[in-house]
Amino acid sequence: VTDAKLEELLRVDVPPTRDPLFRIAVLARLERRRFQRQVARIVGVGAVVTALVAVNAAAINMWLAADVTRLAVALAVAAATVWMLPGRTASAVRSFVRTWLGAFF
Amino acid sequence: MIDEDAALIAEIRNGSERAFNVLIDRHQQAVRGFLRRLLSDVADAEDLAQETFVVAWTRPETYRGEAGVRSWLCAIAWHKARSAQRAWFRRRAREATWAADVAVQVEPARSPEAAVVNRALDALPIEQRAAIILCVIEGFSHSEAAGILDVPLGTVKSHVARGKARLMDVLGGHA
Repeated sequence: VTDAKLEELLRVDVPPTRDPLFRIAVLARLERRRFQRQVARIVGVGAVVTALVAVNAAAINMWLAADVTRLAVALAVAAATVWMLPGRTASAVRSFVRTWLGAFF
Repeated sequence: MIDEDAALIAEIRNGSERAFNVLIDRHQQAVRGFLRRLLSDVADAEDLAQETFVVAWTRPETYRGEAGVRSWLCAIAWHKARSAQRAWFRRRAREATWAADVAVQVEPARSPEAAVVNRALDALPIEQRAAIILCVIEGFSHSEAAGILDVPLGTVKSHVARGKARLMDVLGGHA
């Protein structure tokens, strides 16, 4: 048996040169990864925020009750938190500030 | 081609999905071929091949330009295969059981001779098998294969020589 014959026998069943289905499978896997990371982030941030609010519920209530305009600040913080959940924090903050500045000025 | 590949990696670092698609189209055959022969099980090989490209997308900075992009991808695939193999060994107490499972999972080859050589290839130790696949089938040089497998050049040469001799013996016996 020659080297060439061995090579020929080993080369059977080679994957196709181009395979769009494989490329789609890789891209789908990447999207799944992104989605899982996003869900994990939302769950993590949500859990932390919920815990903080629960622990400080009494203090928050007193702070809000002292001045009704503070409710707007609390709502803005809540909105910013929700805004930040899906994306990266820095870019989300920039986007949030731009949107709100654009709305008022 | 090497410069084009390096340019693709630079674009991928900047988040270009177009470049990533080109990278997959250009190198999927080599990565999938390597893993299919290394693992025998097509489903596991496809899974690891996809994971290899996911790593290429998420960690393009690990490509340092010392070797070709195809070598870099095959090195990622090799590390993935080794990790997967270690996991299998943890699940299975004896290598004989694993080898028997693998033998059942081999895809039907196109000729009896090819089936014999495939079985003989599967029976080789994984390092020898990887060296044979890279140097004989995928066309890498011995030094490129040494870089991919992260072993000395002499070790690759020895793996290829011993592996080929073993395959020749098996084929000779069936000729």
